[in-house]
Amino acid sequence: MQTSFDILLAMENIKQQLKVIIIQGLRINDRTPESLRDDQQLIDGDLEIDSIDILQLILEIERHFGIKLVDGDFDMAVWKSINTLAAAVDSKLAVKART
Amino acid sequence: MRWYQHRFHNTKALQLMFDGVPRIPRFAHPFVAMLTAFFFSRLMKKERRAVARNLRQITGSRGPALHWKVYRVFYSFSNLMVSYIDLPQASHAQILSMLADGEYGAAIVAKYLEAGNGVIFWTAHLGNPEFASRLLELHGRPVNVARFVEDNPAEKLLRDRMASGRLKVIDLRDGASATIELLQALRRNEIVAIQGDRVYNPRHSAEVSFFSKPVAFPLGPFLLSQVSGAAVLPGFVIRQGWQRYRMLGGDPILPGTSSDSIADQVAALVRAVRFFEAQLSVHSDQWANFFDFWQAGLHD
Repeated sequence: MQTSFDILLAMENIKQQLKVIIIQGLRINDRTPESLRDDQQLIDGDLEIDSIDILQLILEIERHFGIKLVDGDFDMAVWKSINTLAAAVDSKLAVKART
Repeated sequence: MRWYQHRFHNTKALQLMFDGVPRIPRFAHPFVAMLTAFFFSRLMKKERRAVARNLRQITGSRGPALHWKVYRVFYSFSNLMVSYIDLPQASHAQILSMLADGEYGAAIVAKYLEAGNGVIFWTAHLGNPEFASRLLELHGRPVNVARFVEDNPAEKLLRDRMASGRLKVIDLRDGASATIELLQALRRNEIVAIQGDRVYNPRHSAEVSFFSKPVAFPLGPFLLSQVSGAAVLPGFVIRQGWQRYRMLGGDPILPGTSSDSIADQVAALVRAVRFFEAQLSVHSDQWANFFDFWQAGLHD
């Protein structure tokens, strides 16, 4: 059975992977994954991520985690920060694990 | 970003056309278009010169041959504008009757819709793209037209005229929510139509040799293809007489799956641009670009 500590660890792991995907997938040269905060704003923030970057991120995230991040009931609030994006990825991974 | 706007692109001029043209007998429409094209080609000097420069680049023509081609561009544009009167209300039977050979790519679109990832129709400001979007309805799936609806009442008037239950205009100025809406449409196995010959976001474009000179084209449609798995079908609806059309479709472009997604997008873009170039070299007098394309299409 998964403990709260395991869940926290899994979530932390997802955030770290997402930070690498953001930096590498969007070819951001002036930042490192470690420099991104968990509450880093994704849209309209200082990373200057636009609508096409979002598509690129969806591609990289879906390929990396083997999930379908965007489906019929996708909530745009997912893009608020790395925290919210990690939570969305985590929930899709949970669905994937159940099926 | 506003690419280009001529001084007659306003609601007054459009309303005048929508009210006036139906009062003229149909058989006289081509003749009125000839006169209108001549009048506007003389009046719009800046646009005439830009069209001449574009056509010289494409065809190499000069002198009277070039002037004739320039006039034909204005005539084709008259055809396009008049089509806004009947096209929005035309039934599917009427749409089919306007096709010169009845061919609208039914088999190929059906084949790619069967995969369940939707289809991306990649077109340009060549021929009649509005007719193309109505033709896409015939495949029995909702059609989502991606376009920048510029902050101009005339632009909104044309958009609202074309929108219907089956044909939805998705305004790319809505940013991330618009691109996600397009992705969701493809994941519902719907059709997305995009005009690929204008760059609104230079950061997401690639320069491709186009009639021997580099021009930037958007990569967005090919990224959308990668994310959704949808095939890109390049195609144009070419005018073959007054309000008579023919669909020209290129080979489907399937999304690349290598680890370098941007290289895959560029490779797909090059294939689409090559098809566009081939069609444009034959139908250059139907390319509605009234600004200097090679100048505007280059990155700073």
